[in-house]
Amino acid sequence: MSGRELGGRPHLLVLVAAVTALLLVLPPLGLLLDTSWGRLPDQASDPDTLRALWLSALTSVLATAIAGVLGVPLAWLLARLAFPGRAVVRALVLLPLVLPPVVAGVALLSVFGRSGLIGGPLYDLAGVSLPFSTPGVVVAHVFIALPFVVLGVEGAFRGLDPGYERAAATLGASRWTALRRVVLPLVAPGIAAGLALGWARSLGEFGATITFAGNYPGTTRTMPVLVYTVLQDDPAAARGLSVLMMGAALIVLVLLRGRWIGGLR
Amino acid sequence: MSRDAVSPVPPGMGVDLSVERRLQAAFHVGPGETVAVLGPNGAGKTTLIHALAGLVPARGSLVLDGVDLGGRPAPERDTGVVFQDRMLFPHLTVLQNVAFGPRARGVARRAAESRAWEWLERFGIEALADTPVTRLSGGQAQRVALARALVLGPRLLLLDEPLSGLDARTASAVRADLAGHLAERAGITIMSTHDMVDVLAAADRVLVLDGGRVVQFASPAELTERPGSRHVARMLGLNLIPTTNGRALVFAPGEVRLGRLDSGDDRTLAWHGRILGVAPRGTVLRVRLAVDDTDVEAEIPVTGGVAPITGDSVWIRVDRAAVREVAPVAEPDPPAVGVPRYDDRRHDPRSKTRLR
Repeated sequence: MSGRELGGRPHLLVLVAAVTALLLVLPPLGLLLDTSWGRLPDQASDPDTLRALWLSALTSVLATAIAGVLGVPLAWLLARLAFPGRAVVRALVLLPLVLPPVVAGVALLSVFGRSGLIGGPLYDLAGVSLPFSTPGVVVAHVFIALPFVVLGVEGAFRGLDPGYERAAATLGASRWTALRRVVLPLVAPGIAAGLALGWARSLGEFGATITFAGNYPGTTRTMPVLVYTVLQDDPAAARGLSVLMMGAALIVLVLLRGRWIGGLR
Repeated sequence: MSRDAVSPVPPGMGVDLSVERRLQAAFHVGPGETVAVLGPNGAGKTTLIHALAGLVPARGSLVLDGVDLGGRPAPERDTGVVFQDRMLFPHLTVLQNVAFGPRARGVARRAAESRAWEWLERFGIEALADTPVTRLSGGQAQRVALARALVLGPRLLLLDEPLSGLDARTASAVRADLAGHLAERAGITIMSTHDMVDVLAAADRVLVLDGGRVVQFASPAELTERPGSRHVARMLGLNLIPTTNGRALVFAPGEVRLGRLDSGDDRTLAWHGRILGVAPRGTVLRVRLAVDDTDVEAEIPVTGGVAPITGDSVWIRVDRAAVREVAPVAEPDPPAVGVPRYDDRRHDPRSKTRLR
């Protein structure tokens, strides 16, 4: 359809859409143009960079897995069970989405800090302290990524015709069997899409991480934190690192898209 | 109805169910009977099927061969259901779909699949065993859905519009299959439909629903003889003209003749009407007439005495011999009226139907 059938092209809309697309593409493009490519190989093999890359990969994958395990049941509940206060629960789940990440970090500190609601007993009883540790990075990432996972997966559950669950029930399947053998396989692409969003968010997480976990090379200095740190006295190096990170994220997304993420189309 | 503790349990299925604001139905089905549930869209057909299967919260009782299934959840009801949109599991093959029931009940995979295979053979679709269900034609999918519903040998088979969404030729093939299978089947079958052809092909009795209530429960022959409401008559393709004494005259469309003048005699009945629409159909014209606020359908030969034109004022005549007078005919109850408007117990003393 060229648009003519419905009464001419919507010129104004096309113009605005073009400007929007340009705005989205321009900054990454500018970054590429402004990068000193000659330094990239050295930067990529620098031990600091490798440590940060590894830490980012580790924490984002762990956080995504945890967010999946925690988020899928909640998403199913929100999509399929009508319970009092469902709207309130959904609003609360979305809270980390609108919370400034720095504020999220401060909030995490007050709950998981050594004198916090959970952090206190955790330290007193088990000697575990989450802030300023690698597990702390994961906790921050899970907190930030969960809403993305829950929202995406809930949409997938909602989009599934409840008739399939009914059919499974009349064939003698318990709710659990139906979930395992019918519902989850059918919403797998939606779950993958939700996880991919959560992972991307986790990979880029900066504010909550630096507030709650700090900036320690090797333990809490993830790629975004490294970029920020380097930016303080060597902006050119920061640009190179940014390109590296963008490349890594792109590669992973493209690989995933081919495999699982039919739901993103 | 109080059930005497001493009396033996009646065989068959006693239903007395209500689903909030959507359905209120009480009826009894004999052992092995096939009952068609007939009604327009929104009449409550699907709600009744779902209530019987335990898929919607319903109050009341459902007693099958002496066992009250009313309180049981769907997985424990021993019912086979063919859903309106079939609801085959799209991520599974034909064989895996049919084997799903036995698998869900804990049968090992091999055994479940060999049981499924038997049913595929019975429906002549074993060649499709490894086909993903998304690639099936409508008729094939319908057979798979039927095999899946029957593989567990349910005592109650529920079919929700089993022929909807099939093209005419496929529908007639599946209809024949279904009729053959239902004749062999020992258990009770409840089949919802809005098509009279299905009813005549397979049903022992017909439960007519409208507005969530049972309007009539009778054999197909009885139904054509004494349609319980204008709705029923219309669904049967009959003409029905109310008379002043609260009764109604019923006749088939083919009996109608049109004329410009009232040239009636003792052997014919005549009404004055206006033509609402004309449609050619082969060698006949299908004419829609308004007579005393009633729509009458008439089929007349193209070479009839009158060339009908929309808006024309005409007389329609019917042989007295072709007209039956039927007893109190009414539109279905408006909601909240709990009084039987038409009680078919008078016509069939064996029927245990209760109407509300």
